[in-house]
Amino acid sequence: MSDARALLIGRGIELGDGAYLEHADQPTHAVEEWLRALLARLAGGTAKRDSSFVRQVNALEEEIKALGDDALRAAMRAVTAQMQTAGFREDLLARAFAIVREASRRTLGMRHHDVQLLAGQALLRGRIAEMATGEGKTLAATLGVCTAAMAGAAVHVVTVNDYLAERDAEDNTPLFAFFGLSVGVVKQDMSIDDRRSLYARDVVYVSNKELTFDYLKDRIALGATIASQLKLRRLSRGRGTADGILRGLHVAIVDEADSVLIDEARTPLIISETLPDDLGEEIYQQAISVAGQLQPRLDYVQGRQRDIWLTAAGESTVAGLVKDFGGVWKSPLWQKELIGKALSALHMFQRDQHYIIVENKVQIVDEFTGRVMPDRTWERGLHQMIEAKENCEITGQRRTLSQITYQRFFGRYLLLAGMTGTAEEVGPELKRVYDLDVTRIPTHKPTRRLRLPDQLFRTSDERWQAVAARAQLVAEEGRAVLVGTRSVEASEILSQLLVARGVAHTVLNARQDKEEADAVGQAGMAGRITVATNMAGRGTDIKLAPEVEERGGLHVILTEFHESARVDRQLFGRSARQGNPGSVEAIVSLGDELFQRYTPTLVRLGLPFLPGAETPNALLLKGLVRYAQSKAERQNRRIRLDTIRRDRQWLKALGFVGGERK
Amino acid sequence: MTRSLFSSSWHSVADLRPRLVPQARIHRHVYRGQVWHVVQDQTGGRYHRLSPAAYNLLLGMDGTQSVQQLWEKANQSGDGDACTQNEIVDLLVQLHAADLLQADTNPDSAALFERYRKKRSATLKQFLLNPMSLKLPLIDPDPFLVRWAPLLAWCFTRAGGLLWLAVVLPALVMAGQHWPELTRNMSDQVLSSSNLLVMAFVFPIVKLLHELGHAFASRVWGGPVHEMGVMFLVFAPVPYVNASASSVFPSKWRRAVVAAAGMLVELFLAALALYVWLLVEPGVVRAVAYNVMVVAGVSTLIVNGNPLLRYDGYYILTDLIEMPNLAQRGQKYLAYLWDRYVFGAHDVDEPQEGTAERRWLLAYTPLAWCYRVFVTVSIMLFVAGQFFIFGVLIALWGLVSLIGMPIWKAYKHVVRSPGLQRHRVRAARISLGLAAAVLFLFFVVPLPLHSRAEGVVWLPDQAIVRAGGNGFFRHWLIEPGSPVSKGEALFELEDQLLSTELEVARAKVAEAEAKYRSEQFVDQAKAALSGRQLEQEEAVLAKLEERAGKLVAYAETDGVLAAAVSQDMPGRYLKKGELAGYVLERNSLIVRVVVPQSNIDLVRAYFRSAELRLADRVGASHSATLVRTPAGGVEELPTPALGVAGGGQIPTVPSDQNGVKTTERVFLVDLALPADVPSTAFGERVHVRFGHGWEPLAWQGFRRLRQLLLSHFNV
Repeated sequence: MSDARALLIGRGIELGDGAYLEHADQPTHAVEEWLRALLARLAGGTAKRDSSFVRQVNALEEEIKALGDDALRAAMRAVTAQMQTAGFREDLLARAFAIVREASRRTLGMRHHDVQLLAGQALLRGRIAEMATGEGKTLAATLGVCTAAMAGAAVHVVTVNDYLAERDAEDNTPLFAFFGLSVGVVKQDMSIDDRRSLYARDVVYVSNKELTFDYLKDRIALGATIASQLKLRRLSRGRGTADGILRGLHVAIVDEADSVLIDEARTPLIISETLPDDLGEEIYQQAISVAGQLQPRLDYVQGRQRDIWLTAAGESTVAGLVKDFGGVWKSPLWQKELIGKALSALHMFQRDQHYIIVENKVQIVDEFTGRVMPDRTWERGLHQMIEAKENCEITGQRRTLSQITYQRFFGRYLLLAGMTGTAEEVGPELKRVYDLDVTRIPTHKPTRRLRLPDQLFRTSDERWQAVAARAQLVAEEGRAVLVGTRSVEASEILSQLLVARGVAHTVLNARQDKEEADAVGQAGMAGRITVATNMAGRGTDIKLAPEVEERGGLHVILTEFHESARVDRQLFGRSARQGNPGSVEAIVSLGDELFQRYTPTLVRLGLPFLPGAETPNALLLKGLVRYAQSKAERQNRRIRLDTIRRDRQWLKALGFVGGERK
Repeated sequence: MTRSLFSSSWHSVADLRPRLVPQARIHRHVYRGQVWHVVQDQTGGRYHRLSPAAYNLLLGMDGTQSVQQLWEKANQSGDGDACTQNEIVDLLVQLHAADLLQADTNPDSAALFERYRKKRSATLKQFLLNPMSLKLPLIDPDPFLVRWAPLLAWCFTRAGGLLWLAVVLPALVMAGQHWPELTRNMSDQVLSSSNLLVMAFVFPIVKLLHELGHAFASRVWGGPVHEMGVMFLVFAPVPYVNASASSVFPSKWRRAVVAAAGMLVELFLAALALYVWLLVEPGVVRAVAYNVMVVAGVSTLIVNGNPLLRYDGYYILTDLIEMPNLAQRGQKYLAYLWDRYVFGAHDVDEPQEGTAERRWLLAYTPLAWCYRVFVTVSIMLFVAGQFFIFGVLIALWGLVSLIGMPIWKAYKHVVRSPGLQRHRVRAARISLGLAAAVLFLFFVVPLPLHSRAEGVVWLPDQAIVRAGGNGFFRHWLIEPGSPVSKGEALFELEDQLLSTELEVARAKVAEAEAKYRSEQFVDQAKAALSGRQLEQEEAVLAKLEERAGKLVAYAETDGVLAAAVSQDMPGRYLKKGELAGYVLERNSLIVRVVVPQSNIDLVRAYFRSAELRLADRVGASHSATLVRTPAGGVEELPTPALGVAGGGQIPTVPSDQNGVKTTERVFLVDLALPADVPSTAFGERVHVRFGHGWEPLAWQGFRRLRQLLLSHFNV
């Protein structure tokens, strides 16, 4: 049985009345949120390196060191038992951290630095700890995880993907085992029962998507059951009755908090099921054939904003054409709906531009990236209509079962905390949406990262040539090189160029499987060139060979600025970790998506003045990048806030459907 | 694409088995020949009009069928208009918002508490949004009404109506007959301090009876009235009742009578008061009667009876023309027209209004808005006159509610309205364009700037002939009427005393001179003494001679000598400086314009042109040139004709007999009289329009505002 008392003491938390322990949804006023964001903008907290808390922990170190393993465990049990009545009081926390630090030294061979203690403290205070890249977030998290788990709470460590969840869990298992804490890693494609048993463990590592989907599944299964009903059920049927997959939302420690809580929170998470189509193939075929007989401009009008609609004349034409069909065709509303969709399918969506046909199936092509997205479907009816147009098999309808926004989901944790290397720009938004403060943690050792001047080229080709030459040059110095690209295609282009030059290299495509993990393990060797998509950035720790360290460490080349400066900094953060030497540079072109999309006019105007393949005024480039990125960030923020607003309106309007359906 | 069949929220409601709460009432009304099913919102005052399809759907909501089943059934029924999923979700949302829906779910307790909290804070919010009418519910008058309604039921029958007519109609006739007596000095009578006391006593009683009129009318026909309290209208407490239960009366006449009952009571009272006023001698009773008439008659007709404000008149109108929610529908319809024709959004939902209804909506909404602006501005000016700070506060509130809120709403509409989804870019462009055009018009486009003033046709100072000293008029040296040239002597005064003094002085000079001569060579010391005396005497003489010289008046300019009563002048005693006549010259007449302090800055700094019209011949305008702008202001008018007492516009001090002392400092600006004005116009009043060039409207407004503030804070 879990016990979350330690989380509740003195924090004035209102509990939800659902099946398990979670924070009740807090109504917040728009003005309050705005003020919160303002506050976060004005007051940023930086933790003090020699705070009294750190001194307390250090003072306990000798005493704790003297204890044997069993005595250490007993001491931890004693202090966490005290927390259940007193909460995470500072003196108790100091003692617990001192014990975890000692245990870590004994089991992992790593002793937490002072600044990691500060990060651990920030976590249990429900804050975001902003640690510079390479400062050991994973280890810092163990302080909070062990303490909260020993105090009885169900601890979820949320990562951005399964690979990181598994890696982090593996790395720290010896420490958890020392305290007798069980660790679970929940991954994709696990059965419900497996999940339930894994979530039952003391500490669970899980990716944000899996976690949220499991929560939604629980909501669908448990429905309107309330906690007391669940307890009664357990009493009557004994233990082991099937109940929720999760134990409750006690503690979430979110790794890469800005990525999970901000970047991924643009759209709500939807859990849906595919049902056989309820209309029948015939109807779609009829609609396509009727729509094919209509005259442009007379019966329908095609607008400039990619929309199409029936005219009044068209409506009567349609009514005449379908009068012999039965079923839903009788209703004028359905006529309009079906013919409208059929017209869209016929005239607005072109094969090989908007979709492709693979194995007799329609697959959507992303207009911006040109990538195929096999799992996506168009809105209700349209997808089927396009299938009918291409004479493909009509697939079933997706039916939404439940949906939730990340903002709402993570807000339900009794204690939400996070870590990231890059919280700078999103601090106000974190405060505004999640009421999370950011604590900046000072670096353990001063950084030795060298930022070389950026290079800007007119065309993409010139850029790739320069990148290849540069990578070869640095690698020949006996250093390791990491080249970050934005897409798989880009990494393939570069790979071809390197092959042409006869340079050995490795390409990582962000699958983040075992094979890639090995490649990352090798990436720190002398003369090694690793080409990786930016997605590989977060969390990968490239260990340097000693001779590389001597020659100047890892060199990172950024080949295209990302919409978010945070992602760029993550990539740069791969080098010069934990006080190691390292250098970074950006070699970009004006043809990059960031410039084309956000500063097209500026670039077009400035292009004639750029004197060929040279380094332009560093300040100008910096200004251009900063402007484009802030514009992108602003746009994305607006989308996210819109999502929240719509979600709230919807919740408010649909008050009558009961808590579990929302 | 106008109505999408599917809703993204469908999964939340599809399995619900909703039912109406047992106490919900659905009423069948016929409005303008159409059947409406109206569900009453328990919070009162709001209707939910149901389309036939929605009504059918509602009938199916008995708690046994799921929303999905209901929808499928509605679609299968085939004939008529099917419902889209969105419409069903909207219907459920509306019913929920009106607390009319029950569903087979555990209520979301947190949401329920939240709604409760919201409702409680709504009062405060309403106050902040509209501080001019705050409602404070106090009692439930229903038991009282139930007890007395049977006794008063006859009032609302034909007999009651006849009695009302029998009392009110003759009173109307009599009021017509005594109109002058009734309205004489009305504002003085009403606003005098002793009367305000009587008014404070009469007003609440009349208004209470007014509200009881509503309440009884509603109760007699079965509409319960559960709320009565005090409303603060422009900070003045006024009683109110909530008689919205009458909105479900099927007969529109009964609904209208409930809305009109308050006014009917007041008019009845006013009629009775008129009889009393006519019958009794002046005294307290008569004063009370007079006030009852003012309150019940005037306020009723101007405020309550006006359908453009949301008071009784509005509800009577909406009942009689069978268009409930007229104001809201008008706004909706205008928004639709705008979206459709200005933004070019072809796919917005068209409000379902008939032709005649459209006309009403088109006419009513802009008119009501204009009237509201007018009322707010009037209140603002009135209050600002009494308490300047409050006036400023009300002005700010008016600015926010009349201009700020609509702009904010328009902004939200453009940015967020789902109907504009596909046209948002275009809509935003057009809106920005319009806003830019308006700003351009206000801040950039120069408009002619004018100020107006009054003046008189006047003479330049040198044309006025005055007496140089005191004395009797002896004779004209030049006959009045004949031309004179500059420097010519005009008339002579005689001052006997002065001529005697002159003779004495001359003699004394002669004496002193003689004495001096005789001693000059004999005794130097004595000679020095007498020489000084001689100088003194000579100085006295010189002064007297100078005074004597002034007894002859000379022309200071060329022209024709004119005097008002030339033949009576000889022998008359003139004081120094007194007017004796004029030397008139065709081109030397000026127009002396009195410019108030608020405009003098403009006239001084931005004089571009001046146009004048004689008060006698307003039709003809003449342009004039500036002769002189004054250095400082004066507090005296050149002629009483320009003061308020003399029929002009400049306020003068009432205690001044001559009517030339002004209350505020004024400035005298001289314009040359144009050649085409007949010279006989001397002394005539002139309307002057100064042109100050061109300036954008906004700057003109800012200048006026600044002057207003400066003058109010006495800076």
